[in-house]
Amino acid sequence: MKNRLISFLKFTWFPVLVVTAWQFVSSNAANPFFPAPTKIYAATKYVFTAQWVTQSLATSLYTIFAGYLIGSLLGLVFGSIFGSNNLLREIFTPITNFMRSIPSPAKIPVIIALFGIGLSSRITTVAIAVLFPVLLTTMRAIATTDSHLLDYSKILKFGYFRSLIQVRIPAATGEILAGLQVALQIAVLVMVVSEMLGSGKGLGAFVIRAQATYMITDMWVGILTIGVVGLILTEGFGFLERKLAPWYFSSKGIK
Amino acid sequence: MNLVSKLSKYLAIGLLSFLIWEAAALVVRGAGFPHSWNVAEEITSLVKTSSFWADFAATIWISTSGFLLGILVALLLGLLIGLNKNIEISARGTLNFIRVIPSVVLLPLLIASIGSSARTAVILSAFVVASTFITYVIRGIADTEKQLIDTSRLIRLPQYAQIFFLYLPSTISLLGTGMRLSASRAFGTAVTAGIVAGTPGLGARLYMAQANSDVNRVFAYVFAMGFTGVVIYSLFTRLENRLFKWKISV
Repeated sequence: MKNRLISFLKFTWFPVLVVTAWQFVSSNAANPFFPAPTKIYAATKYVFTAQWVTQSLATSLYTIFAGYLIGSLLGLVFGSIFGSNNLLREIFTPITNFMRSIPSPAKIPVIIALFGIGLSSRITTVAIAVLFPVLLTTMRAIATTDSHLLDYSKILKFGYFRSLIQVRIPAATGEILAGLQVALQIAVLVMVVSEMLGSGKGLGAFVIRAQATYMITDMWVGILTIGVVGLILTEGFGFLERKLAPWYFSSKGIK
Repeated sequence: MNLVSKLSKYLAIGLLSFLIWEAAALVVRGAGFPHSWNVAEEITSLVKTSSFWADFAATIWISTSGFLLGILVALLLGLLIGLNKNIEISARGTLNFIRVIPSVVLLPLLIASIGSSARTAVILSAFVVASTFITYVIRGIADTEKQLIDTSRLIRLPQYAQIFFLYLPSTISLLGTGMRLSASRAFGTAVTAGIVAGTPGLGARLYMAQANSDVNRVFAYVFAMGFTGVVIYSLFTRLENRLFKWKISV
């Protein structure tokens, strides 16, 4: 019990110190860009009573879930197909590499120029941003399956699909999960940027509008809300991967 | 692989990309998806203008200064945090939180407080690089071999010598990977700041092209960014292979 308290304190003293110092400094100095944490907290309560703010939050979450789901599913399916075939992999590796080298937010104007900035466009931008990193890591992970394992699956006369699903994909789990995790952070980034670019919807739009109308405290509420969304998604991902891929964690001895 | 088969491979890839592109152009024709030759034409006329190269230089300048600044901050903070177990534990939660916040939400704050000049983009790039790279520094220090640490204590190696001859060399293979990732992110952030905040460089031009619904130009800029991204990536891969050839591979 006492040990627990000490380790809890070790984790929390620094953020607590920062917030306290911030509170102290900001209530003494008149810097308009860093309102006191108590002010931000007070603002949070009235900001979230506005209906369009809660709607913004819902829109953002919907965008990110739909886009991430579509993009990562496509990436996993095509990555598995390309990765398990040498010719396809040779052909698609440079193409995927090029597409991934384009900074993900730069793909957004392309989609806007073609389809406008509605909800389905924003979901498409998230899906495209997620697709290429997932495709690339899946392709690489599937292609580098331990050759002994493939030999065994040949001896057992596994067909293409059986060896893909029962041998290659389980063996590639670690790398694929790492790729999915990176893609999740990209998804949050692209969701925010696509909302900032004139859509008028979502948390990104809320932050940009608060800045443009000089509502600095509201802007801080938006920034911190996006941060918390990012944190919850990342933590949720970690929780889910332990639930969904327990064989990977037990084989690595990670708890 | 011999030259002929290599050439034919790239030819096949080129042809296939062309076909995929034109298929996409056919499907999304109504929305104005351009033909590949129209975009090629736009690119060739774009690279002949001096303003393109000025924008390109601005983006590279912003990415480079953001990169260097971020690496420096990450090295200093990383050493401070990584060399002390207690500080490391205290900083862990805060660092995790900073990492999951998409850096672009800080842009409105930067725009409101210091405007949207090149400096804004440099600061944001440096922030992104520092928060990426510091993880690698701390992990590298934590992975230093215990025996070497004990030996260095035994022979009473002074602290600065431990840092330069023990911790930094042992982190170097990780730092190579971290630098490659950081360089890509520095470039990506420079572009993003341009798109969102209009800071000078390719990103702002891309946004303007989109605002004018000049689809060919949008594609041309995105292509230029893709090429730059590939060049940065391969430059750092090559640098990594050359500089860290001697690293101990386990």
